[in-house]
Amino acid sequence: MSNTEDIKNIEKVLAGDIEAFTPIIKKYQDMVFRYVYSKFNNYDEALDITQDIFIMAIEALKSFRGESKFSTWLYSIMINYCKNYRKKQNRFSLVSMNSSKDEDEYDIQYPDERERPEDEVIMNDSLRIMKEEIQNLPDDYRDILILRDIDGLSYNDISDTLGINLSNVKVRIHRGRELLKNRLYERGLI
Amino acid sequence: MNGKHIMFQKMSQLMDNDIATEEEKNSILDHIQSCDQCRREYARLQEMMKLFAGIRKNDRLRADLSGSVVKEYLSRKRKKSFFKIMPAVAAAVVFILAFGLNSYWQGGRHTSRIASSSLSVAPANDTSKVVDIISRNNAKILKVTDLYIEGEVSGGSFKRLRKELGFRRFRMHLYGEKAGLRRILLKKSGLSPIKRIWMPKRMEIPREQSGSGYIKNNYSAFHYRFYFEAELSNSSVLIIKPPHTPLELYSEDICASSS
Repeated sequence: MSNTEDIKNIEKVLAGDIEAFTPIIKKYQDMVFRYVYSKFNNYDEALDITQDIFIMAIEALKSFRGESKFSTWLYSIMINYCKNYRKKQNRFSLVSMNSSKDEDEYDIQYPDERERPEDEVIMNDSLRIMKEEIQNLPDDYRDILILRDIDGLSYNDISDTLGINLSNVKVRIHRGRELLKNRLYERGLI
Repeated sequence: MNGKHIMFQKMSQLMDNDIATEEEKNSILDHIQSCDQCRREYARLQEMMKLFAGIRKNDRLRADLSGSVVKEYLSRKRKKSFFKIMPAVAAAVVFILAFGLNSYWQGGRHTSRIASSSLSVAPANDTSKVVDIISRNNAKILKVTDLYIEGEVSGGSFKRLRKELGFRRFRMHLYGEKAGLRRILLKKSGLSPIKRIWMPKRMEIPREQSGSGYIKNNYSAFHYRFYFEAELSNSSVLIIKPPHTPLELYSEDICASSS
């Protein structure tokens, strides 16, 4: 579905046909979910957040003027929502049950897979470590790597979504990758 | 390239196919193949990109969210529209409460004044209605109080009067009048005057009930009069006055005159 089709569906939604938003959700839900899941590493939480992001998008649809691609606009909503969500979380941060006072130990949030079907592929150790390291990246690098290397956005889309210039996007991507590669190497994963 | 090895940034750009010229790209690839360190570094980058791909493949929704999103959106919209009207509703409730409390407070301070006014205003409205009904039905008003109107009506008009008084409680007493006329009528009907006079007695007159029971017996034929007390609608207590003329005495008069 191209951006033109997105626009057509949006016009229908704005005219009162809310069901016309369904194909848009179907098109972008995996992308949004992957970003959210990569950021929060909790399946259920990511599911709820993804749903909220789409609801917020419907509510804010009137403000979409078609100056950028719809996907870019949606990603902006997604990124802002996640930022605010994280701020809220930090305000009400949870204390880990297995926290340790030792300096060389730290708590790791593992993906919550309780609700996942048993026949699903269980994330292997490599992916788990990879996710941990993505989580530990500075925000600037983490967000941009998720958009680029997990969601597969182009440099231009990332530039529009994050509101930073193209060269800055490239610099961050390469530096982020380098940092992540070094950490994965230190952990013996690559 | 820094002369010896390829910078990571260039490898990353190569990964994204973002090398400016084909010549530079080939040069980088050539170096990677010839330099162990750069080859290992590039292999690590490739390995990391495979892990990214693994995440992309693995982290997928297990369900289609489109249905639930639309449903949830509509549900929230309904709630929002409800909460939108809440300020208006709240304002109305506050206004009503404030008005009610004020009235209650004022009422508490001036109970006697309000009470007397309600007695004087409300009955006055109903009094005028009842007076009008009574007048329309050729009945005579004997007494008007705050609680009831006392009057008399002929048997012929009684039924209509009772009907028009509607929901108002009603108490009546039946009395005979003008014994001479009654005697004439009784004679015309061929019945013994005494027998006719005693008929009401057997029906336990006076007694309290709605007028319908009496009307069925068509007392209008005998020119009896109904003395009634029509209770005004705001009255909770009906005050029953003793009959103006005891029926027994009247009956005795009839009997005496007939004898």
